[in-house]
Amino acid sequence: MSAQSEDLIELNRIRNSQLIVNDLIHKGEFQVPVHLALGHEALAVSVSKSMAVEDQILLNHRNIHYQLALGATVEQLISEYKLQIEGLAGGQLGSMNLVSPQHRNPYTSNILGNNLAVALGIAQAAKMNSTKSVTWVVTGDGAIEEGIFYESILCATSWKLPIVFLIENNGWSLGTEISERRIDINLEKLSHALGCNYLQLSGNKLTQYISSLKSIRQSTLENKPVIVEVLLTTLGGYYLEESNGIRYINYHAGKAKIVTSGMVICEDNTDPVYANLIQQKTEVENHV
Amino acid sequence: MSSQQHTYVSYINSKIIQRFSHRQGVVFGQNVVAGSRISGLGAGIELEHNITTINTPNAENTLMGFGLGLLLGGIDSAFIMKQHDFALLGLDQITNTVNVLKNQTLEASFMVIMVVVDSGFEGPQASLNNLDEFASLSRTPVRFLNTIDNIDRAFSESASPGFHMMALSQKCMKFKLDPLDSRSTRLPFGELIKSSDNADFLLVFFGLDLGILNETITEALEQNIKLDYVIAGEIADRCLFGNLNLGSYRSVVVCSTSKSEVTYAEKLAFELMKMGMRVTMFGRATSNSWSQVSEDSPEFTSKDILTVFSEPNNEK
Repeated sequence: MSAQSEDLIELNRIRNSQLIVNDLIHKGEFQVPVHLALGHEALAVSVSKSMAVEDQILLNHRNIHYQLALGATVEQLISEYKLQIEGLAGGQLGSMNLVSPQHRNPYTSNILGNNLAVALGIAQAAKMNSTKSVTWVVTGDGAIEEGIFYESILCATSWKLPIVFLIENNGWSLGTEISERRIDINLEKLSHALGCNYLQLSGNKLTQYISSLKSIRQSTLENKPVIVEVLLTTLGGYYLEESNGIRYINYHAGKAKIVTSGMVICEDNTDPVYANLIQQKTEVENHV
Repeated sequence: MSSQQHTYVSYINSKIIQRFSHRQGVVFGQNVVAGSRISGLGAGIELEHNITTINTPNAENTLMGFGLGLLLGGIDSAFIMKQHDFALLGLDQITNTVNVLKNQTLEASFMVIMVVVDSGFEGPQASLNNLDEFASLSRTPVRFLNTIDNIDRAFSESASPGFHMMALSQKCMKFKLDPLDSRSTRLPFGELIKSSDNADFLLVFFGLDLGILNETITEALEQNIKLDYVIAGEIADRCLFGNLNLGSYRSVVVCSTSKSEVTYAEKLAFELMKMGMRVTMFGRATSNSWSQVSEDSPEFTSKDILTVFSEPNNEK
């Protein structure tokens, strides 16, 4: 089986696992809040494939896709969310602070931006221990509004730390879109102003993502951190009808709109799961 | 150099160097190895080859997280900070990250050394002497660097894996550090000085600046009041007196110079009262002068404390 096929299978596994979890959320099986990341799977698979064995990754509250990509099974996650001993962290950490050191994830923060600063220390420690490792840290377009984002980039470049700052930009923070809460931030200019490399990814293109991330990982080893802004759509949101029209409400935590375990959540051509299904369907039709 | 020749700052510097003499670590903060350092704190640390020093940007929230990241990465570190109010910017890390890390097996230590600017003349900024809040939010002791024994204890305990906080007084930084009192014995939370085998009173002192304590002791001696005293070495929820027979005292005075509205000293006083002890509490009283440039003196005096000892109902 080709590497690309394996990646697609992995991507589908992560999507299906989340849909199973979503069904359980609908059934009220969990007391802990779970943040699904439907539509984020391609990034998680790409990051996992781009990380070297000595690398570490620090996550945030929306971490289910990375936990799965890094090696957790859906059963381990479900047990963890049910706070059972069979869970990934023995049922001690739930969802938003879930760490899996055995899968190169030493720290996860449910507080916006906290993990950015902790990543600096992990990276400095790795540097002092002379390991050729890169520290990856995941945050979102909401957290880059926090002061700690600016401070962390400043320190990372000042101290020449090999860090990849992954910004999952889904355009939403809780129930507000970017345009509703602030001006647009030109992350590329900000990165360069602070002496940091910048890369933007979009379109959920697995092969391109993996290639770009592997390349950018290498450049951070030359002691220059990088900001990778990934434009994506968090799928499965809710629509709320208002008197003057329809307004899209993105879900922050808990259940996504879809209630069945079907593969397709919305017909988004940039969603690789959807695109893959369409391609398979076409191939079948052609064959027939 | 003997401890008698040390100032608070020089002794603490020697403890920092000693702390890292056998294992590599990072000491960081603004100007830790530049200019006048942090009022002299940090002088000479760059000479210890195990210490990587970093003069940092002004980014306290991030610096606090940086130290916790080093801790996770297995590297010991110390964050030297003047002044204590900058630690407010790192409270999110001290509360959330520290509490998350308590679930993990750690192999290194991270200590934050804070200078409490208690001179008063810096204005409102100097009114922050609220270490109780930090101990409460992080559920971590804040250790007082107030006597040689308590400094030794603080650095010894801070070598254990995990997050540690300690604080010293700006007023006292350049003072000569008194040698260890020959009558001193260790309690789990501080240093006990017994004046005799049958003292009538016990004074428990929580604070960084020992000025009012020393005045009280001197005046008690002049008045032939038999007084044992405890200099608390930390703010924590574990004020245990060990084998000390509290029942032998007529009464106990608990004294705190903290500006926190709720203090661990008050909690101790309450616990002692529940045990049937006669207890008097002295603490700071919120004042308008705290938000102005003024000498930061406690709202109570040594004479107020001594009055307790001469009250007629303080019979055995």
